[in-house]
Amino acid sequence: MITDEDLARAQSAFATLRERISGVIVGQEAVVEVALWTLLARGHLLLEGVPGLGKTLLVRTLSRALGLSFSRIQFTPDLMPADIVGTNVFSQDSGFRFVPGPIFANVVLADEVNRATPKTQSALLEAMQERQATVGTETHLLPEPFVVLATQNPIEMEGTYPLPEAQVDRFLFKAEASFPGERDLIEIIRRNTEGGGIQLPNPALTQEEVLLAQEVVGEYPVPRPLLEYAARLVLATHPSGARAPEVVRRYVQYGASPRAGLALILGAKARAFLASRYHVGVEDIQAALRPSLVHRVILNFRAEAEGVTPGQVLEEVRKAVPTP
Amino acid sequence: MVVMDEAGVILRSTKGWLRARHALRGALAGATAGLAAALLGRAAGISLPGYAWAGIPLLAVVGAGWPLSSPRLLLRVGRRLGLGERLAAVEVLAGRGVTALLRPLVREIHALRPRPWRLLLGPAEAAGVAIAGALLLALAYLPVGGPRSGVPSAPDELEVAAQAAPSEPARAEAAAPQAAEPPPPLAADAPLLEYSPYQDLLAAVLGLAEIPPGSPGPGDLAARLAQEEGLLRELADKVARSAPGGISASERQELVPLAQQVTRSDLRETVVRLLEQGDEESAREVEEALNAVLAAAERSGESGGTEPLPEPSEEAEAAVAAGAPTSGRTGERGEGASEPPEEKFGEDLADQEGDLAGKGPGGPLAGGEGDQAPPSPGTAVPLPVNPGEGPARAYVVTGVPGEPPSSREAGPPGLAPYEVDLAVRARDIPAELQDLVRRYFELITGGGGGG
Repeated sequence: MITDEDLARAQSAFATLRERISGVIVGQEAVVEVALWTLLARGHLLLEGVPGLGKTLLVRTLSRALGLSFSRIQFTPDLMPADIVGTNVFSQDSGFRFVPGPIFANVVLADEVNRATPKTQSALLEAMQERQATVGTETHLLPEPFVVLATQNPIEMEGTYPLPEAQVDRFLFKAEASFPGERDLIEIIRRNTEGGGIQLPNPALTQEEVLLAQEVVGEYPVPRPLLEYAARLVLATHPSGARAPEVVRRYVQYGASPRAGLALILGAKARAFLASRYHVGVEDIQAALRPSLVHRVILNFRAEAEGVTPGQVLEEVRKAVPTP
Repeated sequence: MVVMDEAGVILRSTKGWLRARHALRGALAGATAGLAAALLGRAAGISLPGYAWAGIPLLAVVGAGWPLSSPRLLLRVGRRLGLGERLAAVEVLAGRGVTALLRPLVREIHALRPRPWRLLLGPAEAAGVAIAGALLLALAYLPVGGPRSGVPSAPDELEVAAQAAPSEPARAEAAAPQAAEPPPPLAADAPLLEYSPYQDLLAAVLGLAEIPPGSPGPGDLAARLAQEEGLLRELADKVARSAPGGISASERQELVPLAQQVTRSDLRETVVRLLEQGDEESAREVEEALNAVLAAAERSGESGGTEPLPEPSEEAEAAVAAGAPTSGRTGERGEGASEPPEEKFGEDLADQEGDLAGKGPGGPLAGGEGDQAPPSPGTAVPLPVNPGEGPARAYVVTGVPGEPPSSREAGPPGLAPYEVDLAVRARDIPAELQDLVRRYFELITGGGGGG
């Protein structure tokens, strides 16, 4: 059970964290927000955007400010599962010894995750889900907190292995990095070209404080009508559902999975925490709708032909489902 | 644990107001249903039994005791009070005992200063009040389908009406001519009459108030009645003696002052006018008119008030019509209606104009309701129920005998004989005074001004 001091400490620590991240990352507030939701909700983030938008910088800044261990895996077609989870190495003195792979870190950046083969992707995604890695006959627990921030390029598809829907579903949220506006772009240029370039922030949190904040967020109350609202939003994405709006019936092939409901509520809780509120509101759930469901709604060919995006469908779903 | 107690107080208070709101909604629903039923009943000439109104408090109690579906309700109530989802969150946290989050939430709720009484002023409640008000207005303006209109009923009169409901054909017949008439104005909108001892007397007869000291009592009433009857008889006798060959100037000088003492103004004017014509035919008409009034009063007393007064004879009607301008329609006022009222008891009887309780001057001594056919002898006459209107309004509106007429061109009718009779019986007027009261009203109002 959390105490008043726990609550105050966690809120203060994350306020400092946001302040330090904003000192490095220009624009991309929505992406930073969703990244923090991911951390607080004990999930993993799929970060999508064209190259050069600061995805990697964001992950590095986040891990540095969090004061957690960080590792980066550059996914390539020849990357093997052992390159991620580690392997047993024989030593003449001590026999076989496990050498942990880069997955054994608090914050893991899986850069261009769609460039690795499905076999390697599966190794990563299994570790994400189980929070453990099995090598040979031994199972090794991953450190806590453990968060994977995977990036992928949506436009360059040649030589890539798009993540299967079942594996995409393992990511709690998906953040879409957008191109900065003129003012933000000027600021990015200025910060990167003046002096010694961008300086990563000093750690603002400890591992203990991150875990404490995760516990606090878990205690946030969600009244039953809001849980029902989240469930109705998820069900409304299913074209066979009774409450599915017309746009869903026309353009959606598969609706969101039950994990989408978890993501909605956890994201709403994290958003309320970061906003220094003590209760979850309808607007929190609505704000979490797109990051939680956009990678879980599979559109049909007709939608692709007509240029309909999952984001547009979700907007219609939000309008169609009445608020409690 | 203090914060848990505070949260409990907040939740209990909110739920208490919610119960009050449900009680209000129940009462409004009951009132709306009752008024709608009364409205339909009035249109059909059916009285709503008095106990039907007991449904209003009953529904209020049911509403207050209705189970509250707490989370959803608290969510909506919280938004209504400007608390967002805080109330619902407090309930969740109080159930789990998470005081760390509960404390700041309770603090926020106190800081926002919710006003739970606003729950009673929601759109649903406003709509309920509006609908009930509209029904009430419609009820007040809709003409009665039964034989009586405009006169509000006392609660005990409801029972009388329920017991003595007329047959359907009679009711339909009585309702038919009234349907085309314009609705009477609201009783509350009627101008208040100036004070007169007659008001106290009528209030006492209706059981509304004690007769104040110094006001005319039953003894005064009897004396007044005897005086009036004696005057009419003396006048009738003298006119009968003088009629053959016409009235001479000397006889006229003797008879006219007597005729000017007659209380009933339409009769007074008619008699004076005919006496001044002086021919034998006019004298016969005067005699017949006076005898008709006396006979009607006597019949009213003998019948115990349960039978309506008979229609006047053609001769008497013609006699009155020949000299006095009739209003042509029931409820219309005759000439001189605008004369100022007198306040002194001794003078007002003599100076009143003829529009007593809605009776047109010179009109026939008809019993019952205006143009409607009087009910047959022995038929119990129902009193239509006007929910929300009590005897106090009847006291103000119905037109007190001997009082100045209201400014309405077609005001609601006054007390018909059977209404006087019902009031007398309902109020336990002593038997020895019942005839006196009936005859008093008969003599003063000429049949109660049956509209």
